[in-house]
Amino acid sequence: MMTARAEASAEDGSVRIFLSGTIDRVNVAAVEEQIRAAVSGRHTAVSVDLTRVIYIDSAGKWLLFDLASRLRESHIALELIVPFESSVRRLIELYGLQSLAVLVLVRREDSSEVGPLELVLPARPWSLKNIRNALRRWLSGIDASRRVVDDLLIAVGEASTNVVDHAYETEGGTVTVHLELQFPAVVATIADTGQWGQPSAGNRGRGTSFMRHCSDDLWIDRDPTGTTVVIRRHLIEEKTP
Amino acid sequence: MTSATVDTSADHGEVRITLSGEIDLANSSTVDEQIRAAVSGQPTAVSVDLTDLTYMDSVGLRLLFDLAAHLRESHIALKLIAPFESPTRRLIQFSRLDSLATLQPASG
Repeated sequence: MMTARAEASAEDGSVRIFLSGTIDRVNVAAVEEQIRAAVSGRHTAVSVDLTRVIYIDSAGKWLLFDLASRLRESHIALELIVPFESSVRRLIELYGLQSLAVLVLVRREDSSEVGPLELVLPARPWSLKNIRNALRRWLSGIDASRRVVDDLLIAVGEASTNVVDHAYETEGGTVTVHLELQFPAVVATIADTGQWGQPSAGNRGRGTSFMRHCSDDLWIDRDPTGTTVVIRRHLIEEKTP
Repeated sequence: MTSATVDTSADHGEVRITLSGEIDLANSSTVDEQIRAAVSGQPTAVSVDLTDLTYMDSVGLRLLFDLAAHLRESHIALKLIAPFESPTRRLIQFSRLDSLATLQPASG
């Protein structure tokens, strides 16, 4: 048994589609029809919530690939919301959907504490907007002050921009953004598996100094297997300009 | 997709540019082209209003530094408008861009 439900928000032009059950060759045509109906208008963002999906077979995989590619043509990144530890996440990653879509990893609903946010995105410029959207949503969930939100958007934005701009050669790769509440601070980790080209002069230095300016602690760990940036920002104590 | 709007008006040779939306690596070259086009005639002064910009980082700052350097060569004054407490204003001050331009909290 499979169900599909779409919720469109007129406020920001986004649409979220909730799927549950299994998506396989038996029902894929019906799911596709419902998704097409849900995204027929002009939308700024489209997400598919897979947290209640049990299994996706290869027919379901192609359905999601097809949706992601069509949205890409309109410069929209498809967001796939999947549970942190789940067989659906493993399937999505096995199918390679993270190369076309943004994976938003969430804790199960029954968890009362604020779970971490984990995003896996293609290291492409259009992903930067998706990172900010997810950060704003997660930070509003923990009641972060405007100043903390502004600072983290910039610090994480600079680290992600570096990955998009410098980490990979032409073959491309992914950027992973992880946010975690370690009260009284938020810890953001931005990681890639790139080799990094020669550091270019100029803007990168300014980006790193902005990262430092907008965080309380900053660690940058670069080795041949990739780079990890860890940003720590206090929630309470306001940073002085 | 990241989007920004560049509105331009001219008043007796003074060009006023109003930026709104967000600027990042995805749209910076487009915004850069629009700003360059706006100042391509020989303006007597240029102002850039950043009040409605909801996101900008070092990529956007670089555009403003390039603009400031370009105008300075032609001895054209640059005014930047960014409200108190805004992240944009903080980055302008932190990067010392305010040494190349006049920084105001509001237009007028």
